Amino acid sequence: MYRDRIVITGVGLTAPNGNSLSEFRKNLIEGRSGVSLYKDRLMGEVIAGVCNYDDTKYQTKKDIRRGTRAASIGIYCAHEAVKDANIDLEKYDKSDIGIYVGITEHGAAEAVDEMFSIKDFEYNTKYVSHYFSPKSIANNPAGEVCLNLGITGPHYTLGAACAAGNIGLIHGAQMLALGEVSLAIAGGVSESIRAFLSFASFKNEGALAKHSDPEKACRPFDKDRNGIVISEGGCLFILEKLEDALARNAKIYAELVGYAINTDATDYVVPNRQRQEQCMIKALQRAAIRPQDINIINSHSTSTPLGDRTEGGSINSIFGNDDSVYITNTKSYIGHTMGAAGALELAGELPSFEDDIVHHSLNLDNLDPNCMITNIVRKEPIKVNNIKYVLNNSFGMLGINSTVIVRKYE
Amino acid sequence: MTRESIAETIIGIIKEVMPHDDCSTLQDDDVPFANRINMDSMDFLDVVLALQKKYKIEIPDEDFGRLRNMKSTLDYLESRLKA
Repeated sequence: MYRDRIVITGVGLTAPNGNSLSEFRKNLIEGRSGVSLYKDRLMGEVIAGVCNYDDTKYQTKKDIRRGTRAASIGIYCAHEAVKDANIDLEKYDKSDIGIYVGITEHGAAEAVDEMFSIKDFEYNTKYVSHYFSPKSIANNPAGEVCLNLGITGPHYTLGAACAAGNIGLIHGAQMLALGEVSLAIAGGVSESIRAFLSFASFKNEGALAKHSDPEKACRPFDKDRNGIVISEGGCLFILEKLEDALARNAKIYAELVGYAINTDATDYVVPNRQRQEQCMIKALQRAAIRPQDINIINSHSTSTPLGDRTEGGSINSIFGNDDSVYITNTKSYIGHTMGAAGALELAGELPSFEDDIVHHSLNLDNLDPNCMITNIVRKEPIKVNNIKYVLNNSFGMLGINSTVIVRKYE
Repeated sequence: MTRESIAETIIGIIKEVMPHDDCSTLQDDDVPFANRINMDSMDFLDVVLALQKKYKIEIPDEDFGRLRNMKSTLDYLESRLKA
């Protein structure tokens, strides 16, 4: 598929239930949710996933105030990824490093903050902060990472709705394969909980999860699922060519062996089963493997009635006869981290290449038969012999679909 | 509103904008802020915006030059707030 083999050699993340891969993975295995109540200025108490990473670990208070939450998450993740990959950036040509950050959206939270800040001044635009522009521009979450780390190679964000985390990763790999950069820091981030608009829009669409217990609100494929839980989070990977990783004796988490991106072209929000199938099949073909070679599918599983039914059908049509393909998800633990989702959800599965464990899906009390999901891991994690392939789905509005397949490096 | 209370407000705003700087050296004199604390142009604009919001006044761009040190800032604000 690629001229060069691309591998993941570092992971930096923050999720509502963990601020490092080891903590995140531990909580996935132990069934620990990160969903809680969150107070929004206009919506009041809502169910959400909130991160609690130390934002002053890599930024001054002044830089945090000047920047955005999405960028703060990105900076934390980038530093953690670099550290995890055991890379000394000072020994690299910083103009040869690319920053590729997937985002669902950016600028809504900044616009909301600005409107609130001038509300008491009768919306006099004289009081609009001069920082609004650098905060709200679409490349902000990637640009601030460069500012912070002194990286002078290309940086930009990839707007791809809820498929953005996968697409950030894919794009990073493409840029490495093209020889545009020699090291890529790629993945996705989200600050969506900072804008009431996200909650209000999903609520008015009838797609925001409701439950008396926040930890039980996100319940993919369960009969009683009723919507998504909006969360913040981030995950950035260090991507390198295999030969570069081997030359520096790097730890290799996985090799990216297949991917696909396609578009429904049928509706703004309603998913399309056939296109999802085509996306997964294309990724399998590019990886040159059969469906039964996959060990774990991390499904997109938003916990909306229609979304899960559609994805359940598309997975079933390709993998339904293969008992060796185990299905799980991450959103039941942390909600929907939007632009970060694809990257975070893949990251949580990478340790399975070492521990051969498939973590379970939370809150799956009554499997909805209409979802046609048969081999989903429930109640507790399971041990599987020699996990070799993980497939990660991430789909988004305006019909964008993405599938990533990674292989254990041996 | 006394000159001292305005000075306290200014220092409070600068501390918020520049939490890592030592503001104890700021005095009612004509030494530029930037000589005593690490105030760049963006910090300066932040301070001006916060002063406008605090005192509900509009400070036109052509007056920004009068806000470069504590003494002239206090002189300027005193005259604006009396008006």
